[in-house]
Amino acid sequence: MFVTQLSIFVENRFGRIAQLTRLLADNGIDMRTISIADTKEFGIVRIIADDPDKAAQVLTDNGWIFQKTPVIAVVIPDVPGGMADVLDALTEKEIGVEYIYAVIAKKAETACMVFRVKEKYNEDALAVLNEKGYKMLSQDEVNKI
Amino acid sequence: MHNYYQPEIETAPREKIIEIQNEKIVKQVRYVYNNVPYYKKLMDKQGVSPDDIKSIDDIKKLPFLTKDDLREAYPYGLLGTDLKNCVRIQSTSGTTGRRVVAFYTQHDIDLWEECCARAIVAAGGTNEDVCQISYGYGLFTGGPGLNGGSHKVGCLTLPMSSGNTDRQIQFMMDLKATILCCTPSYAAYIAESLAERGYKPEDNHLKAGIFGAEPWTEEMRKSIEKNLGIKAYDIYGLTETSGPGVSFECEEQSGMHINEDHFYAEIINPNTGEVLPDGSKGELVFTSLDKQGFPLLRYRTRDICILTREKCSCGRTHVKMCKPMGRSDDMLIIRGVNVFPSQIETVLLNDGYAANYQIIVDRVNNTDTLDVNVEITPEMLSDTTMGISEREAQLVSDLKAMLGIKAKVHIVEPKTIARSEGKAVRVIDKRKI
Repeated sequence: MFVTQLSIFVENRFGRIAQLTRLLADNGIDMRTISIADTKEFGIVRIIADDPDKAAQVLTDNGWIFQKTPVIAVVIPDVPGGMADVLDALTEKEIGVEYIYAVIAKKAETACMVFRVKEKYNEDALAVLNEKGYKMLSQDEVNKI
Repeated sequence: MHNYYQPEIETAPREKIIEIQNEKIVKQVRYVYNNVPYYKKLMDKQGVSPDDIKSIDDIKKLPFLTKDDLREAYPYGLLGTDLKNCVRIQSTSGTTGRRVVAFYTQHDIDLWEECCARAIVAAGGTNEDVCQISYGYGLFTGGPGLNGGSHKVGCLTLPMSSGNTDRQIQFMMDLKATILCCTPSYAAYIAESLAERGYKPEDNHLKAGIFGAEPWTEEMRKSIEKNLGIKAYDIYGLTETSGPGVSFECEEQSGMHINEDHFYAEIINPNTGEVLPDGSKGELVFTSLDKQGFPLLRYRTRDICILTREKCSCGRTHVKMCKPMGRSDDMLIIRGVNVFPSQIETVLLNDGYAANYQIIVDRVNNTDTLDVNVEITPEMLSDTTMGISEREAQLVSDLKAMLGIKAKVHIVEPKTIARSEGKAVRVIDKRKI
């Protein structure tokens, strides 16, 4: 089960992220989470929106360049070692992680982390996490946590 | 005191020069007609035969050659003699599609080196000088041309080639170089580097510099002269005609004397091809008068220029050309290297970018900079910065391979490249030249 992340190219110019988030807000799109990878000249803003299709349409209509990226949202216990266990499971199968970030969870006892692995390992990652008994969230579930 | 390498020809009366040109052009046209089928075809098409060329004035009957002809005829189409008679190849910067490959017989090399020797002597060079040549050596004509000229004059020659400034400075100081030959921007850079190391202008032994291969201003000349404590002379040439030394400055520094016994210059209206009188601004056209390997008749340089024939205080009688004032095409000269925007476009398209780009040329600390802004497309987007940076690095490397110089690449958002009247402005040259 994958969740759709929107990966948006943003030039490193003053006020650009403000413009992006305002645009989404004006269109009633709720960001479940956001993460930014930056370089000196540009950044990639990664967003999981409550309605990815609508968000994509808004971005397209307004000339933003983005990509839909399938990512894995995993529920993990919010205890020491919770994260390490997930990573161990992936590492054992030689699945490398490209990046990780958190989804803001409204319930406190679990955490939800978003994992991006190399595209070719997508299915393997799902299989190993299933095998270890982790719960992966769907888009709807991400919206509700 | 005036210095000449070949006084009898450099100060010959005008009538004598014209007599030499009359004699040489008749032979050169016949030679080209008989040896270069490509040009024969052009002459036949225009209905001109070698018999129609009886004096230098008849030159206007001949068809022009352009860079497109050179490209079409690449590599051997304009060769004037058997390869077995040629001893050298030189070429413009390694640029696919626009590459110019010129062939030289020993006669051509001698002629070229003599022209460079005239330039060195005009700058005060003698066999007592130590001539540091910091132009690139190799296919580029700068190093080899001045190297040969320096030998002919009898200077102690330092074949430094360009780059490795520490070593340049060490040799310059330890071996007491008296003449420096390089691009003006490199001269400015060397001057700065000397100052950084605590040297004052009077600490070096230089007396003169011969600087060319790229446009430079009077202000730049003054600053180099002050910072190196020298007199700075301009030199002009192009691979198509041989290389540097087609024309050079004398102590008057008011234009470059064209070596008219080897190269005949005309100024034309670039739109109509009409020959313009002396003093008019137009496109510079060169005809080689006695070359064997790569003889070009009426080659359009695309350089915009003015010719003057007023008497020069140096005693030379050869026509003077001003510094090129621009181009009649879109060629840029960046760090001495010829760059066409179309080359950059080719690389972008090959690498999967859209043709939405902008080339920004500037001069920072006397060195040319080349920046290429290119708009990102959905296809090239990645969700990691590394993915984009890798593509960027690939583009930098592909541009370097095409142009021979390094460009800085900036990936920008779509529709951020300024467009005027609906058409994107492709080139912004911020240099004040």
